[in-house]
Amino acid sequence: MSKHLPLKAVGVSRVYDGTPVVNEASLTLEPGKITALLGQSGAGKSTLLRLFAGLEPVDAGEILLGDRVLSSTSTHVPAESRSIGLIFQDFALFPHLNALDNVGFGLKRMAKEARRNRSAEWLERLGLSHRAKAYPHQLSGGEQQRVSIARALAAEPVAILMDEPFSGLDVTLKSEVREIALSAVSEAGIPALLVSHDASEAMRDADRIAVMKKGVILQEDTPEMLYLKPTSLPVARALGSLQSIARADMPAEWVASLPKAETYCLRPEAIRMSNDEGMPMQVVSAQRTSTIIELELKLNGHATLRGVGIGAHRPSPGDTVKVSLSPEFVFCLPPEAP
Amino acid sequence: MQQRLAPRLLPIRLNTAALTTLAAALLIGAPVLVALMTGLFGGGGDAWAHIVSTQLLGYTLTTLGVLFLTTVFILLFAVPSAWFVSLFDFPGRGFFEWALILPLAAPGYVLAYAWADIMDVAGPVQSFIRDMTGLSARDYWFPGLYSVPGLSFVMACALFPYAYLTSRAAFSNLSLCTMEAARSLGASPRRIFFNVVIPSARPAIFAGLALALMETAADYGAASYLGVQTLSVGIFRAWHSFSEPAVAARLAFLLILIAFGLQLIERQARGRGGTQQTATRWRTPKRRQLSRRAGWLVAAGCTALLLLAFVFPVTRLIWVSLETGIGQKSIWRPFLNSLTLALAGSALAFVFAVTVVIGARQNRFSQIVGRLAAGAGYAAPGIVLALGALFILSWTGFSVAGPAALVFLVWIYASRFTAAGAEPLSAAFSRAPASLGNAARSLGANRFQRLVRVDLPVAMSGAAAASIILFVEMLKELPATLMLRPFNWDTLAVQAHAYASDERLAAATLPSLLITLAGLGPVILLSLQLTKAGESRAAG
Repeated sequence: MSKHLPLKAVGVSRVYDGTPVVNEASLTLEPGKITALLGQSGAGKSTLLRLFAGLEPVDAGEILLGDRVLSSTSTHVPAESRSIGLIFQDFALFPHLNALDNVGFGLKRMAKEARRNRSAEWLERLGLSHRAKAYPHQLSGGEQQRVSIARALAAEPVAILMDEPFSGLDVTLKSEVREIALSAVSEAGIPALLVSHDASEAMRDADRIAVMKKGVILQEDTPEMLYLKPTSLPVARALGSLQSIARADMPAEWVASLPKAETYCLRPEAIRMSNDEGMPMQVVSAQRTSTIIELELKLNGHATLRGVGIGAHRPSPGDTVKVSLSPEFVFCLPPEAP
Repeated sequence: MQQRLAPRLLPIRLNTAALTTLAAALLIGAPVLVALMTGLFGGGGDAWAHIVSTQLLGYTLTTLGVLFLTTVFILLFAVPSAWFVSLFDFPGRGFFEWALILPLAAPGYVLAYAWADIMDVAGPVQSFIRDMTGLSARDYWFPGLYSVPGLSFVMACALFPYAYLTSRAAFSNLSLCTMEAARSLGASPRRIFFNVVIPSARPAIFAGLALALMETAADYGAASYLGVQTLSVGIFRAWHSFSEPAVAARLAFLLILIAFGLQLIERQARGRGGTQQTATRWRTPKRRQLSRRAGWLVAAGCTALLLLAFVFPVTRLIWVSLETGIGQKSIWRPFLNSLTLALAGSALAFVFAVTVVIGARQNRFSQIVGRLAAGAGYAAPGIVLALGALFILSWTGFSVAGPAALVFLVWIYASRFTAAGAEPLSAAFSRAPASLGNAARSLGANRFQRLVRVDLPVAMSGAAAASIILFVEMLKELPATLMLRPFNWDTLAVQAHAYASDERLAAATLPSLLITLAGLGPVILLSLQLTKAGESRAAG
């Protein structure tokens, strides 16, 4: 099986009961890169993953590995012949096999000894050699997920697809497992897809992000570009918090530095509390989160504005603070279609 | 990499898995289907008209009466005991928690023999009363066991653990938050019990109750021994005494309707219970210490229940058996017959159960077909299935008295108990992650490899439990064996029934005790397992 080829979806659709769940989606997963598929529940992310994996046939379009067609309306290479690794939210470890045998499950045409050695190597790589004999129910959630990652990678897949792989883990385990797992995936140099509904997770872990809504891929780019240059309101919202302010409500001197639009969409960090210069505004409320102070400011008689501040002093409601505008966090986007 | 044409998804995909399940389902469902069809379309002639005008109403009302009174007894036995065991601490609570399941080991007909002897004019209770009062038997009234209330009491003793188990699970899973919310809204403990606790546990109580009532409706041994004319007894008489199989099939149709109705209630109740348990964030309440007096009172209640439902009848059987000498050579033949039949039946039921459970994971069609067939077989009383098998036997030209009847009996056993075996196997799967099959596919395992390397080994973790349950259920089976066994080919259950019916209770005790003893091991195992699961959940 050839390696290090891109895995591509070209205009693929999948229809359930007359409703397209994936609608003409095109996405290329580059070798050595992690692409996150971001969207809310029901956006069609997991279905697109299943189409890539061959767990479901396509109703239109093609799935390609390099130039080889894996799925089209006339061709369907079954999942077991694709050599595409899968990592699930529920880990999917075989309960009747211990960690070592789970990892060895996908190693074919190998002598028993060689298979055991290879499995042991992968367990060691993921820091689990001491748990080789343990059965799934004896492993913690984090350990189970690491075994499932070792199992998928040990089979030397041509690509790896991860369906919300870390959402079953608690917060403390999550970062540890994520670090080990994603570095192993990156080292394998194969295309990787990470399905997630968590924007911060996708931005931190992925090299590229595709935002999906109602079966359609709205935009695909690097996390930085998607955050700073969204092309539509749903994409901007998918990547982070947003507030809409009518042009008429914005202070005139700020409007001067912005392109002409009826409504502006602002990330919270567009409005920043500053010590020396800026526009004076009255504080409605101020909450300290771990690193920043979240501000709600009185904009005019009927509207408020959200902003952020950094520093030791948290202003009290009624105080007047000086705030400045960072135009790179302000977007002029067409209104969302109903 | 091989390429092949994509199979278009049809509403029903009849692939190998679906066809295998369909074949198994047909085998499981055939006897009940045949009995149903014959009952519906077979016609009953004059005999049926006679039964309709003379006995049908009696059979039906008696059956419904038994079901009603059994319900009352079971609710009285199971709900309070489960309530106290789950939520309160009192002397002996840990013991009663598992011991109250023990009556499941003894079949209803065995309890009927024992209780009939205990309550008999010459039995220990009445003798004691006479000795104490100096009265003669004619001078006082004593409740007779040979009646609808008597049968209901015996069946409730044998089967209340079903409702006890489901109620106990429901009470242990009660949301403390709900009870605290009710308390904060000013509800008294009494109001909390009736307006919060009971309604939320009701689906579970109904589920257990419906199972017990299905068994009650299916009972032939106890009813026939106590002379209560239920539909089961009517079916047997129509077939055996009057040689009117068509009439028997008509009566069986009625009985199936009752059984399926009960099964529907059980399914729906279980479904509602499931929804309730996942809908809320649960915090299991801690057990409250009862006051010393109340504690001893509850312990006395639980002791009385255990004595009535298990200790008294089993001790009486042991007593009678010892009194008359235990050495009965004739027991070995039926013992071996029982063993052979139960082993063969378990093996076939096990194959059916594995096929149904694995099929259910393959596609929706297999899931529906398998579940329907297994459910129908389980709900249908043994007597009905035996009737179906007898029709098939006569159509195919095999002799009812020949060895073919034994093969049919094994088939009937499997048809009746596949669902009981499928349950632990399916539980083994439900503990496994849902995406196992897809994980195996992504690792290159084809359909056959997935069956051998994943599905079968996963199912096997529930195999031990399934085999034990199947074996014991088949060992206890009476009516189908009675109808289908070749002449002079007795099992323990048949022998016990034959001796007891001939008023030779002493001879019936040993086979009865052997059946109970065989049932005791698995019941204790099950009981300890459930108690442990409850404890680990409480600890977690």
